[in-house]
Parts: sequence; structure tokens; C-alpha cells
Amino acid sequence: MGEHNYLSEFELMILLIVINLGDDAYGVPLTRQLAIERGRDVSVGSVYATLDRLEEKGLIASRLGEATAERGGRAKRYFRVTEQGLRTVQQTRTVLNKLWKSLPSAGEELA
Amino acid sequence: MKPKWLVTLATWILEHLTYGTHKEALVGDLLEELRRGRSTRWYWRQVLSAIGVELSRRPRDYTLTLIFSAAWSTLYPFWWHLIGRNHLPQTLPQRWAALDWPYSGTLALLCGVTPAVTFIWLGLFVYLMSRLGVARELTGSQVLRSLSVSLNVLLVANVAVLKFFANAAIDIRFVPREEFYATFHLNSISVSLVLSLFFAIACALPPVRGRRFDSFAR
Repeated sequence: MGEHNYLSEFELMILLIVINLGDDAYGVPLTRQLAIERGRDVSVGSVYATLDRLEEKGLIASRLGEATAERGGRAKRYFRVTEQGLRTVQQTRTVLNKLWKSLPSAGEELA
Repeated sequence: MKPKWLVTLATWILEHLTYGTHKEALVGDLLEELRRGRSTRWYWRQVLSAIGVELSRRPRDYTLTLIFSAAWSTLYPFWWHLIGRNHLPQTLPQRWAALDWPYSGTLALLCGVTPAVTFIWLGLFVYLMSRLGVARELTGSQVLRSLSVSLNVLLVANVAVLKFFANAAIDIRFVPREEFYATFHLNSISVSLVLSLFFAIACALPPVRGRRFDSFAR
């Protein structure tokens, strides 16, 4: 069996949002989008903890952006998904699709 | 109108209690959201949550530090006998007490705190020596900051101990100087010494993360 980076639901959502945001993928839009998708407020700290973990796994990369007065002089950090990250997302989708297929439709008896 | 000092305080706490690679970006994002209309309450909730996440991410690092601090604090009675007996003659505090205020009070305080402070600083250096690989990267200012943090935590913990005993059955005036740190204890582990050493080490040796600056080039 090959080596896989298994993704949690939260990690997968973050990776997908980073892909969707493209060049504008930094903390604020990322957290806002995540809050919209999940339907509740999200802890920015837990988002960064997950981003940190994904970066350690080599699934995303980051670079420092511009600092603005609005941010108290702190630089933004932009994220993008790496080749390995994209591969992992696709693998996860394949596994999940396979599992979804075995889901019985409503009213059908469980095996 | 948002009270500025509340935001400044929360930001200071966040910056000093988190060590992640993305600390600057995290603080910047929170400030950006605040300027865009989020409440101070929301800001504080996010700050506390970020600190909680940070602390829960490195339990092994902090557990080791806590165990070392607790074990080290049990050695304090030996240290007191070593330094207290040889270098702080018992008559000295009495002689200082005869001086005018504030010299009498200040010198008595120094006499009481000095053995504990030197004990904690020695513990910090022993810990750093045991992790020489990481400690080698420490700068002088980081060490100074750590020593200062240990002192502040010890003083705050001492005030808390005195406040605790204000309502307790023990009269702190009759507690011998050498037993002060052992009086507020759990199985001979002095809480104030443990806290002071723990924060000194945590401040000197943040988790190894946080050294990457740009990984886009990968």
C-alpha cells in the first residue's frame, strides 16, 4: 500500500479554499470563506495551526506579502497549494467518491 | 468606539504567548478584521482561542518542561541550606531590619527572594545545558527576557501566595524564611517556583517551529 497523507475534513476544506482563492489566499479571505462554508464563526488560530501543519507536510507553501497600516504594520502571508498538495486532494477525492458510492439511498436497507 | 488599550493588551498577550511561523500574519489578520468592524469581544475571543490552540499543539514540549520544573523545585530546600547558610548569615536580616524604611523592607525582601531567584536561574541554565543543540541558537536578549519573565512570575506568584494566606489559618509572619516557598506546596513541589521556572524555560525555548520565512520556492 502506497504512502498517503490522510486529510481531515478541516484540512481538506482549507486546501480547497486555498485553491479557490488563488492569488488572494491569505488569512482573512480564507477564514471568511471557511466560516461561510461551515455556517459558523471560525477560530483564526485553528486555521493557522492547520495551515502550519499542512506546510510541514509539504502540501502548501507560503510567502510573505505586503504590510499595511490596516494590519498594524504586519505582513500578510499568502498560501498556495503545492503539487504534492494537489495530488493529495485528488487522492482524497478518489477515496471519498468510492466510499460515497456505497452509501445506500434513503429508504434502502443497510447491509 | 473600541477601547484601544484592550486591543493593545490582547495583541501583546498574543504576541508573547504564541510562537508559530505565522504569528505575525495571524496578528495582522485579526487586526484587519477588527478595523473592518469586528468587536473587541470577538478580538479577545480569537486571541484566547489562538493561545489555547498554541498550547494544545505542543503538549509534549510543555509536559517535559513542567515535569523538569516540578522536579527542580523539590531541590529548593537543599539550595536554601547551601546558599542560605553559607552566604546569607542569619543575623543579616535582623541587622537590616534595624535600618530606616524603605531600606529595611527592601533588603529583607531581597534577602528572601534572592535564594529563590538564583535557584530558578540555575535551573534554567541546567535545562538549557541539557538541550544544548537548541539553546546554542539563543541570543543574549532572549536569555535576558527569560530571566526577567521568571522574576516577574515569581513576584506575582509570591503576591498570590501572600493573598492566599491572608485568609488562611497560617500566619505568614511566623513562617520561617527558608520555609516560605515550601509552605504553599503540593507534595513538596513549590507552586511559585514551578511556575517561575516553567515560564522562564517556555520563554527561552519556544517550540522549534517558526524558522521558515518563505516556502513558495519549494
